[in-house]
Amino acid sequence: MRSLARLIWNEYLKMIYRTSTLVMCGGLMALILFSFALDRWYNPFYTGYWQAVASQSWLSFFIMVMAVILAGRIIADEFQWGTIKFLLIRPAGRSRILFVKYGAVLCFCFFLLMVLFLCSMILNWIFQPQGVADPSLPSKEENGNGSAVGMVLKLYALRMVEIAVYAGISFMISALFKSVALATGLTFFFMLFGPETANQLGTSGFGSYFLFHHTGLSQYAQWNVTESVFSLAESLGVVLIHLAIFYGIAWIRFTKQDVF
Amino acid sequence: MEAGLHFRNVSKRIRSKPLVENVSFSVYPGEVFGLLGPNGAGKTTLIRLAVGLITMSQGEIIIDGHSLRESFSQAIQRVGAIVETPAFYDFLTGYQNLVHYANLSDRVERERIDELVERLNMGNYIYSKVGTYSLGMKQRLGIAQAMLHRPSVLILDEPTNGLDPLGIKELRETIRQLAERENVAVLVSSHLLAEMEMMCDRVGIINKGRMVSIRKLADGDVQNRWFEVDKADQAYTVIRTKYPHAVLAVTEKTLKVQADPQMTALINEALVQAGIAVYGITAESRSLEDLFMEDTENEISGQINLE
Repeated sequence: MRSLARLIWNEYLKMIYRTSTLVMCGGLMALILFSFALDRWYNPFYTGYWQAVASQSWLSFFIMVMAVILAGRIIADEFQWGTIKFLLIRPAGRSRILFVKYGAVLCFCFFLLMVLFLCSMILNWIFQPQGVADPSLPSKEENGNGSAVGMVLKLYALRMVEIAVYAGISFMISALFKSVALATGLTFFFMLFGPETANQLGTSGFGSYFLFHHTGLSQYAQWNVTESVFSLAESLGVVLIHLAIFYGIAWIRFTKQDVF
Repeated sequence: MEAGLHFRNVSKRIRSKPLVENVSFSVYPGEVFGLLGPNGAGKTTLIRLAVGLITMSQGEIIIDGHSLRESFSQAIQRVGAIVETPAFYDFLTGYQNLVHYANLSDRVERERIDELVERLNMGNYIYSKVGTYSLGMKQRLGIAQAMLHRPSVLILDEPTNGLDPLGIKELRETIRQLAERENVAVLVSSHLLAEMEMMCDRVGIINKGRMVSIRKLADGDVQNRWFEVDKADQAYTVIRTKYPHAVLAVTEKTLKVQADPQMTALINEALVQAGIAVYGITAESRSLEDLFMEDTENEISGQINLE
């Protein structure tokens, strides 16, 4: 356990000491603040406190973009720098290194998501301190069972799964082809055209297992849930199976290959 | 437990094309063993097999009694290595790089890092980013990285590549020191004959994926020696009866023998006692280059000489 923590620390060392990571983090924070400002400026009173927090969770999209870049780099870079040779000739072993690398990306994104969540809470509190104590959800009857806090937490949890999926795709491509450009490029392509392809494919038969029917998980935690074809459990199931397959492919490639 | 590094009938093929065929050799503690061969002979493949970067198709590699294939962690934890030019994270300091690699092994304390930094004289620049290092500095950092976990086997691939003469000398001394004082088994590869001659105790000559021969390079070994005498025929008869295996050839004024220093003295004594005037004794110095040429040519003509 202790050694796993040290390995994750290693990955952070390599992430946070790079200027590009810091620039991305800074950019992310600037975007979040900018978008808060827009929200307040154009729509000062449109919602209650928790609703504002919930609707601002869409900003996790930027964390997702960053997750794709980080996951796409984390293996390919080691090969490009040549440091992979020093990395693989240690007792830690390839499986553990792979696990730690994906885990480190997820932990880092989880941290960023928490920062987003806290920023959102604090900034909204500054604008409407009285709203925090009001747990009431807007009128939709069918969602009336949960508290506002529970709904927001669920929403953030599902955002995290969305991030994990796209990070997983990028991570797999990075392990397969050892190219940052290919990993991030292809993943953004999927992000853009995946849902559209899902629409074309329809939800009958095997088409219903198509990953991109299920990646819009946050819809399951909105107060204004629209009729959806799948249940949350079904979508989570499909997503997790896909993630397991992606990870499996990355694992086979990473642990079995000859490194010249 | 068999200490050191042992290759047993190791083969590596890629799509049935052999890169390395049936190679066996051992590197013992306290010894520097050189892999010598032309580019593309299979040196780098052997080095990468030894550190587990590529998997073998056949055979076995044993490190301090642990099979690399069956217990990778156990075996590799005893190995320190530099494969090709040492590559580091340019945006981290030398010290951070060492901490990073220390974290990948068990039981490396910070004191060990400090100790190596001091011993390799890296104090001046260890807290600068590696991006600013010269190749020699990186090479030293590479050695430190390889020695962090106190390995009993050190593996260096073309360690002198790109170093200036002073750097090469320093590296050679460091390697000899590690072998002699810390009883480390060292495996180095190179295509530079002179380099290997100065650094190694034994060399394995590789050609076309095969181990052609293994040669000992110690001084005072059995060598061909020429005795310059007044009566060569008589000298030949004397030595022939006394030491029948020593004599190789005879000319009008010289006798060629194969002998170690002690035997040389005995032959000299026998000659003098028989009343033959010895004008001079010359050791035929055969450089590694000669050995290399001889062995690779032998291999071409089909006589494989495995020691």
